Amino acid sequence: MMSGLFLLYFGVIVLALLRYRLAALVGAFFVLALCIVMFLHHATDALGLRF
Amino acid sequence: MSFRKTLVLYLNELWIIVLASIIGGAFIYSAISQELPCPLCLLQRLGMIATAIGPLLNLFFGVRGIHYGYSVLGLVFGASVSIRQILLHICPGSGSYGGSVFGFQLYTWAFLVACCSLLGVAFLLMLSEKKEEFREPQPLQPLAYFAIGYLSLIVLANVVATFLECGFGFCPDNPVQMRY
Repeated sequence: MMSGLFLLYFGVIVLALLRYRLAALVGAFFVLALCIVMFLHHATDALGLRF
Repeated sequence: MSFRKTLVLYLNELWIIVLASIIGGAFIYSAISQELPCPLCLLQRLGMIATAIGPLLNLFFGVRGIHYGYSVLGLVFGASVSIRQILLHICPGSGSYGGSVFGFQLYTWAFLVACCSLLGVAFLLMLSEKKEEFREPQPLQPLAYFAIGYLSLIVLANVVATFLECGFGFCPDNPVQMRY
């Protein structure tokens, strides 16, 4: 699942290469939101909360 | 193109190369020392990539505040993950995750990188004061092509390595062996 986040960032770079500014920006914010969700999962998992 | 704009674009390129080199360094360190990166280590790398996306967008679409804003969000995310991991091992006797480089663990270095990136954003924002001139995108320089290619290569290498370590599911908290 974590490799998917890296892959999505690669997709953002490709979108920027293709000059789709809005798509690259929206994609970048979306991936960052997913990263935060993943961080919350791992942080709360260590506390035993199982987010 | 004014000297100031040339300098800002050059610093953006340099910023991408430095961040990609740091991620690549961590990647090589993990490979040499046979230590698999933990989920928080991978999230710190993602934070650094998020930080590098801002200057990358600056190179493609002109220097804009939203691009720097995205970098700040990425570095704050990376710093939060680093602080979380530092606090996990801050109590005496709680040990540490992985080996150290120049006396600091990799997660401590990740926090320092986030702090330096914050200083870099502040400096670049001060330089990018003339908004109208900076908004106009410029043709990419050879160094920009190198920076973008280098970052893409590092991201792709991380895709493969992370997939081999974690597969399709969540990464284990303390990985001991590759999944594939």
